[in-house]
Amino acid sequence: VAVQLRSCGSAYLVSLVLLVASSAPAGQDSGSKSISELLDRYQKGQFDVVGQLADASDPTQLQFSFIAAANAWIARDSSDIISRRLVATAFAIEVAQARLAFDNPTLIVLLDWARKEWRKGPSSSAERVWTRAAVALIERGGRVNGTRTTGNDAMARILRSTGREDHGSIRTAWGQQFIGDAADRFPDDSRLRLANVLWQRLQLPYDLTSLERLAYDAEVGPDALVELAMLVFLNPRVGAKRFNDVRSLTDQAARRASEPTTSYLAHFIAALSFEKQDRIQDAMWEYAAALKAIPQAQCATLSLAQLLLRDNQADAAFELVNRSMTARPEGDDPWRLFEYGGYIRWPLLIADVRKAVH
Amino acid sequence: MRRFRLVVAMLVAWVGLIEGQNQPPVFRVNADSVAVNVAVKKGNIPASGLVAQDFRVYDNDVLQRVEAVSQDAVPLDVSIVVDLSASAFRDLETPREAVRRMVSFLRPDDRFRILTMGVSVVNAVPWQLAGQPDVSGIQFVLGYRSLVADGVLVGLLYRSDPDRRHLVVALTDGQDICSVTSGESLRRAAERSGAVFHWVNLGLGAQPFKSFARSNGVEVDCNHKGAATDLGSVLSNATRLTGGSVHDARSGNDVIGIARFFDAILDDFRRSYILHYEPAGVPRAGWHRLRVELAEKGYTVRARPGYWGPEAESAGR
Repeated sequence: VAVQLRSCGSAYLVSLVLLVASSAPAGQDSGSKSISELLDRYQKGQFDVVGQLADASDPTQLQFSFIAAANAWIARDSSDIISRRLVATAFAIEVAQARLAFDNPTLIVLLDWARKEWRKGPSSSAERVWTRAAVALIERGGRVNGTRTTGNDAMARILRSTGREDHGSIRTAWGQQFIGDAADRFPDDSRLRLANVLWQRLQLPYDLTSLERLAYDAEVGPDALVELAMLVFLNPRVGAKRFNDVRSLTDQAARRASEPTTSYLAHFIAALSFEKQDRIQDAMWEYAAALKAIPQAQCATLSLAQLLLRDNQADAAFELVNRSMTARPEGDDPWRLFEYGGYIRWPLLIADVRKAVH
Repeated sequence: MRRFRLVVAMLVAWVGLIEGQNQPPVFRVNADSVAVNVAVKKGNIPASGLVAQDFRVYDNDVLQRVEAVSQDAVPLDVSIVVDLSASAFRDLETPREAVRRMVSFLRPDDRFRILTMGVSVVNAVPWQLAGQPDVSGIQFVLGYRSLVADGVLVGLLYRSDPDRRHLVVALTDGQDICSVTSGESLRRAAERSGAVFHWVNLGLGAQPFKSFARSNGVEVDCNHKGAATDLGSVLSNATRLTGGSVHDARSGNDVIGIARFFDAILDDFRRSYILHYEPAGVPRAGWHRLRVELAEKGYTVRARPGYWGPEAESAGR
């Protein structure tokens, strides 16, 4: 276990060594047995058992116990190694996701273990499904760092103690390596290529060529176009011309989008650019089109309501907002998740993983 | 432009969003009459026993005839907007307890709702009659953002039934992260809303809207929509525009203090007068400046500084 965790940093290694030296045997047996049972149940489709482990108070103990138990569980039946590997690594990813708000170190440790577990064999479709979800999780949990190096430490303590997120500094190298490796292992997977390109998107100067190339891809092209549109929108150096470029990109994205989320974002970003130009009627049209893609979505609802107020259509604004508060769509507003790249598709990705497991 | 506007309206209707557009604003009891909430104090004590003849109401500087005065006659709808950010409350139990205590001051026929925020503005406790509230819906969520401006906008853009009055109380330090609502929009919403809005300020002063880190750690400004850079002054102005006020609690940890503020807000609201008049000598549409005075000196009067007349094709103010 120590060898597997070495890459995650000396602090973890030291704490693990201390843990092993002091208390491992007795607790480990009962813990392993219990985790083994959870893995059995997870394999049978009882996915909510993840919560029983994800709530653990001691992250180091959780990481150590899980990895030890999962290794033993996978090895129990060598004839079915790939599916058992998928079960254990899927379980790991769900634990990491459940602890995303307050425990990024566990995400690093479990995903590192899982990646190495997969590398013991040739790549497979099961691994691809798992990798897509793992990469999305890293895009969401990108602020992965065991120690906060900037900002208000007192506030960080409060955030951790109350289960709220720490928007502190991050370690980019680990995530970059993970996502880069994933894209190399599945070179024909355009989702992983897009994630790899997006991870670098704000390291200026940023070369748009890779993203532009992905815009022609059948699967991720519309998403790449939306990302391009936002990068152009955010770049003031392009000048006023950028708004036409933005809308050219969002028009293409909306036309080609096969998922409501992509269509919503394309129309929403187009509306932002119209608002910047004070073209209020055009912006209203785009927000309404976004709401056609995802009815009652809050960001487009509130944005459209503000423009209706400005246009002296207050009654419509009141009605719009109140209806959205009583009939909210399932899931979070895509605009709120846009910064997290592929994590916006997390419900689909984890559903694919679970389908492969069971 | 007019034809294009019609097209937009049709599109909005097409996505099934608009109903009941002809409802009058709540501060109007019917299409021809205006009802204005007016808080009157003598010193620090709410004034009682005033009648129509005691008031002077100027609508666009034209003196109006106050036809009726009512007080404490109708039940309340109370929207409580709770900012769950760490800079406002240090744990989850504190805002829950604050809400329990606040709701305990309501009367049985009053209604309330609790709006919190996370990835979106959340209806944590939907509209319900006063009573022991189930506060389990007040929760932290993954991806929390302090959507203060969005929350207040949602609070203001609600119309109570004509036989009720709407009060919006925001518990926040005024620090916003990534709302899509601009300061200008909050002003417009306050002008249009029939609610009286009070801000219980839990912080040491509002801070500018914040940027936040994208997934690789580079700071990106999430304010693409021209959101207010000084939300504190925006919220203060919104309270003034609705006839409400700001209350400096300075901390989210003082549950008893927050409850006391709310009790005082309720008392002020219940003891305020509702003046009814039919606007005369002024155009119906557009913005109406309001001025309310007492015939006798020595009183302080707080009322909204204006209202919008029936919707028309007129341009905004």
